[in-house]
Amino acid sequence: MIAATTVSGVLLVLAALAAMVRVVRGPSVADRMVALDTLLFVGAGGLGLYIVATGDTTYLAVLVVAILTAFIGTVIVARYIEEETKR
Amino acid sequence: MIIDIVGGLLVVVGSALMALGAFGLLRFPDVFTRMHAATKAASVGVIATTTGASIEAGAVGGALILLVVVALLFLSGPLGMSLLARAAYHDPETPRAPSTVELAVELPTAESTPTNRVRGSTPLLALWLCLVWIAAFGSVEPNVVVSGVIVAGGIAYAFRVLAPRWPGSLHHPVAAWRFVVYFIGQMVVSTWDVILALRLRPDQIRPAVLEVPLMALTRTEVTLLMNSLSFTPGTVALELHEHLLYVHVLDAQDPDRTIRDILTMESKIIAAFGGNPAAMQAGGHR
Repeated sequence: MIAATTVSGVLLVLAALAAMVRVVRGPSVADRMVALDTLLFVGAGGLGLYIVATGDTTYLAVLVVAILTAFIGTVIVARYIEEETKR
Repeated sequence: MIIDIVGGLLVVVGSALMALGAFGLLRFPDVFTRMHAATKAASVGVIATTTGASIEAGAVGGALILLVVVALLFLSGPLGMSLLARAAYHDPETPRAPSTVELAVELPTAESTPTNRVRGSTPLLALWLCLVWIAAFGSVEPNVVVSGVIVAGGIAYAFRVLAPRWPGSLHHPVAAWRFVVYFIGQMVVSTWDVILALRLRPDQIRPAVLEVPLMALTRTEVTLLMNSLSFTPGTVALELHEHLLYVHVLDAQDPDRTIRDILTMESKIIAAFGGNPAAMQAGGHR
């Protein structure tokens, strides 16, 4: 069990690092948004890992809310890119 | 004990999917291909991790949370990705993989189609919000349910203009189940395909924009098809113009096969949610 959570933790950290690299390097706004989306999902994955590792389900609601709001940023940035293109 | 093992296994699988997706974020050549890898592999990963986590919450609460999370991911994830892909596609400054095959001659310019607002179903919205409320608390105790009904009912009434429409009538429950099973199978297959594409060198990938003629008649069917396509790793719906659907495909080594897959999915959706069999037999477009 400890092995499983350790492996998951390492994988999630690697995923977060890769996403951060893409956020910094871009090159376009859409690239950064895709990377930030991934980062949020990795965060939600981290919450899931915490819940499984400790058996403490307090943060399950946070997980639901994080996924509930995940798409809002993407939609706003998509709108922004569209407006920029029109100009 | 078994719960712990299953939970641990699901979390490992989910994390591995996210790590692979993030690796694709670094490796794939342009924003569309990265979208296929990262966000959608990640959302499958989130489903796996949440399944593991919700097991801990017990049978009823866990199942509810899982239902809400999967529904949220299916409803909102493809929406954001489709909009972002469309915006990036119309933006001439977006760098594009040089190996992209353009099978669509010319993508029509973005234009907002007039929407005729149809009054939606307020009870449906209230029911959905109530489910979200219960899932957020993770319990079905009476005080949670009662407060959920009050809050959800109030919000649903205040925002009744925005209420969703009931998606057609479900005349064919067997076909609907067949579609769900087919869709889950497609998810597994295409996630695996995206993972396989990770071993290709960036210039070996053949991304493509495909033009698919649709026969779907109603808005429900078209929406469901675009959502399903955008949720499946490897394809994202770019634009809908008249009855032509433009789809970005991660790796179209065989474009004909991909188009056939999309049409298969369409025919299954029509079989399951076909609102108007008479119009279908007439063969008209919407």
